[in-house]
Amino acid sequence: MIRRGVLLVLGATCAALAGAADRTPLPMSARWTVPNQLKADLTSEPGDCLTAPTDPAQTRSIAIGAAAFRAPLLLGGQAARSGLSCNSCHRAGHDNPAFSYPGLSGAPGTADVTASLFSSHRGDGQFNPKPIPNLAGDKALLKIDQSQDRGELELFILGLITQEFDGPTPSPAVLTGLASYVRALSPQACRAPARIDLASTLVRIDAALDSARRSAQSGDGATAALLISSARSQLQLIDERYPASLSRSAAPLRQAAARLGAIERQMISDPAGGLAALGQWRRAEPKWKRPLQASEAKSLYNPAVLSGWLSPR
Amino acid sequence: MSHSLRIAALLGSAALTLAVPTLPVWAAGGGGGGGGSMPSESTPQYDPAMEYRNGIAALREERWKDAERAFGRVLTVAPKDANTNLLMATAKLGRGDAKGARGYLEKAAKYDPDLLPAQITLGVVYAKLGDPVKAQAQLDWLQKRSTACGGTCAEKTAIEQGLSEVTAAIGAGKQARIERLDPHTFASAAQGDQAYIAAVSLINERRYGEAIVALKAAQRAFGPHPDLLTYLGFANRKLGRYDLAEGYYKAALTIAPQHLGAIEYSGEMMLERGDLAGAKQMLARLDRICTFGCAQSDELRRWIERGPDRG
Repeated sequence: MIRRGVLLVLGATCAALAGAADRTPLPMSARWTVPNQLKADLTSEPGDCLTAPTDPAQTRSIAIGAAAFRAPLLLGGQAARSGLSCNSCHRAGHDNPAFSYPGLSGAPGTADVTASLFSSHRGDGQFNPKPIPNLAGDKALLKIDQSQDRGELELFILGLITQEFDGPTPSPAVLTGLASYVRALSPQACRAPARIDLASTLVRIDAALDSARRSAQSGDGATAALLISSARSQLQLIDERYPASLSRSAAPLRQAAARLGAIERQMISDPAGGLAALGQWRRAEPKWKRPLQASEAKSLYNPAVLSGWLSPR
Repeated sequence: MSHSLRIAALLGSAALTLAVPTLPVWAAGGGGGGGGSMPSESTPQYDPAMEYRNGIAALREERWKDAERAFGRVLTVAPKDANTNLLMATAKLGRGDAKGARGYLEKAAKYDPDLLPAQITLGVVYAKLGDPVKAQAQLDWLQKRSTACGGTCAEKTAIEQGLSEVTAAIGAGKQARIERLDPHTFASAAQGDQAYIAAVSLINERRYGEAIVALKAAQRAFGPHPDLLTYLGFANRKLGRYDLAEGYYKAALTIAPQHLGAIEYSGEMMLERGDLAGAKQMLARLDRICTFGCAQSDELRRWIERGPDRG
């Protein structure tokens, strides 16, 4: 993988980066990673830096934000079509020194947030990429005041989603959740880098769907739908780790993901019905989880397998 | 203008540094929703964009028959691609087959009348094949273009050189000389990428006319790539050219039946034309493809729910 073809920009084209020997496209999470960091970024991610609030409502809000942070469909326009989420630039809330997007990045780890490539609102006609800030770092270094009483962070995030990325207006719970998540990041709370494996991804899916269930229970179908979309994107990340030779293991996952898509759509108009369907879906989880767990050692979650898969690139 | 210069104008001026993609870039169904599988069984098992690049590489090395073979494959799925028709003609001319080149040049000029190298070469070829009436018609076309240009447009020099070349060819008749192309004057993939970035940015700025120019520049590097065809459809649709847009969308879907963007934008255009049922069919198609969710189906769903006035 030498040239970062901008044809990928559309999101229709991730596979241009694939290796000659293996026609499996790169995992979505690695599409915008500089080549020399691919293995590292596909193997582990920075440690979580979330402080643990004592208030249950705040805990729930942070959980919503954490899931939305990884949902490509939160963002609109070209970003969503490229599979980008907040987490693409801010891995686990940090920065991303290996991020490189044609037409948007200068040096790795930078992005031009005023490029027309992503935004129909904020293009300034100049290529001026800036370093991606570390949201889990010293808050004094961040340009937006995060104090809750002023609400500047919420306004900033709203502008970022709807203006910088041309996304649809998020639900109030999602917007509040994202702000809660960002506020809860603290350099003092950072854990060690975490290995990326099937279990860690499944934990994220569980958390997103738990939050979706609670949102649906309160009648907030829009929030529930976005959280389900976040879970579906995580299912895709799992699917991408199982190459064609393991397609039998991944087939139940794909069927489950398709069913979850129908539930996501139902949530918008019928949260109660969606809630019931989600409960059924969750009870059937072992059917798709077990085959994946059984063949995980042969999948691209295994660093040795991953190394071999990356070698022709 | 010599043939080599025309090709340079067509394809850009930098030395070729083909970075050959290793996989049809839409193989994942556009956006990764298809899980990496190839499109339907009826889709030819080769990649037109790859073949296009193979053809350019062969032209560069003067492997005319290889170039013909590659462009022939592209034309089986994208017969109306003007650039490919012109390049096929170039390969034919490379081995002295002016008669064989004529039909491809006619198609190139028909499918993209703005493709000056095709119009000029066609005039020269007509003259060489002993058809001064048609050669004169090409010259007349160029003169009209020159008048419209008024001596100020970006194509001024190319038009003037074309006029001179066709005039000379008419004078020489069957002795007209067709310049061999310079094999080092092809657009690079990097130039195509830059044009593409510019096009997407221009579309976001709603500068659709300029976006079309940039997309066509990218197309000269990448050939009938479904992403480019889709955006050509999009930009033309925004300019109210629905029939043209539909043609581009269909061309994209012929090459990549599961192209998410082409399906989405086709659905949006159906809504704009009052075809709600058709738009819903497109949405259902996206929902089937997007196993893990995709922005294209979300956006089309919003259009269907809120109407086509979303800009």
